[in-house]
Amino acid sequence: MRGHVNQTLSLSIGELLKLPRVELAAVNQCSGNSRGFFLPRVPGAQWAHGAMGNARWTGVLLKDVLDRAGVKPGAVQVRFNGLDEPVVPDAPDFRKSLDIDHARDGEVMIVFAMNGEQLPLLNGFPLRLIVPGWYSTYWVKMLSDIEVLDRQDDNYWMATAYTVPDTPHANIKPGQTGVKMVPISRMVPRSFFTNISDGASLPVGAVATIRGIAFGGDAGVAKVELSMDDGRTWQPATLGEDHGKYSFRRWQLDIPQLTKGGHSLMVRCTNAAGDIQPGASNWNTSGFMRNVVETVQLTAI
Amino acid sequence: MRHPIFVIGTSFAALLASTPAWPAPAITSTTVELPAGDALFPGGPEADAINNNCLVCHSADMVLNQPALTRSTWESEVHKMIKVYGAPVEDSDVPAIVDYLAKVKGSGQ
Ligand code: HEC
Repeated sequence: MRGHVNQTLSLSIGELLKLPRVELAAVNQCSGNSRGFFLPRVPGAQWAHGAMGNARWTGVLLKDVLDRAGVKPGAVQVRFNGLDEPVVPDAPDFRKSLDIDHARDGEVMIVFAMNGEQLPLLNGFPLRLIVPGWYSTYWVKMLSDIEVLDRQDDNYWMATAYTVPDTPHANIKPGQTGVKMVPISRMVPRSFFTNISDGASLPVGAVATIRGIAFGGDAGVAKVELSMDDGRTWQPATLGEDHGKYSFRRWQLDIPQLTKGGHSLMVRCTNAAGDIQPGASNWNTSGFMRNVVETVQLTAI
Repeated sequence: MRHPIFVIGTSFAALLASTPAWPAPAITSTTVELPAGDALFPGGPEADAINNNCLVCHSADMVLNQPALTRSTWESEVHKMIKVYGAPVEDSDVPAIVDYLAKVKGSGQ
């Protein structure tokens, strides 16, 4: 730990393990999760909905660690670096920063365990930053260096990469230029079907229990609703156990007997801050922050 | 990049006596053999330029799984790799790489 602090500090893993422990369930989601569904298509990893996961993270508060070094007045951001290095020397090293107040909010964590076991290598062994409610680009793996800055970080991975249009839902028209870009930040609410997929067939008259998961982004899940009339009316689903505001939450709903033919089923989540999934897809050149209402087409036969 | 990665950790179980409410996390050394990922871009001699320049940092699959893109988008992707990520690519190889991508993953525009 170095930079704008009272004393440069080096902590061993052993010393870190002696700090007060915290545990939190939180969704880790790629900024570009579901990018493969963007139209027009955009370059980048062509994810479907799988670039996310939910786990129980155990570690210590970043705040406690920062307090040990003593943050000096005038600190602006805290920058994090991991043991990974670029393949070629001139390439930009992957580093991410959080505003000082965010870094000290008592929620951002340095973790050493995932679901009760040490972090697997690909999940960031031995230490990883957890930024609850924010996209995983900030969840720096193999964390080794914490630098308190007295200025805004302008490194490539903050100022250029992982930026989004400063518009509602980070949405622009394809080809639109001259848009103000800002670093990506909070996650937005999403919900998914898990026991039924697009194009599924069900017997006419069957009573079906539809199930899924939802998360609120940077606030808890307030409600999950389903629509069978293209979004005109919505029925609330029953929510499953609450594992905390940053976790996946299961939901389920018994739908009425289906008449022969095609039906569409939509699901949307509203979070505790009142943010609701939009009915129309967003678009931006990086394929970030997709959270449109999910729809499946069913056929009753 | 083909060799296993060794990560050094230590077991700190002894240090945890002060916080008996928490089970000791067993943080121990680990060895991981990453899959080789040595697949080439198909196409024989046509693919020589891309095979010589684009396999250092990520797999051929990552590139081949991209959607169909316009020629100018492919051109700017190749320049982004060189300028931003420091891909060591000879100037004289750039046209052959763009031609290959525009042919194999082109949108015809
Ligand atoms: C020096 C390392 C390096 C080399 C060599 C390299 N790339 Fe990349 N490439 C990257 C990095 C880093 C990313 C971004 C990964 C991310 O953001 O997740 C990337 C991403 C991409 C993407 C996804 C779209 C994007 O812009 O993120 C494509 C397509 C791509 N590279 C094509 C190529 C081609 C074609 C070549 C050969 C000319 C090449 N790469 C050579 C480092 C490299």
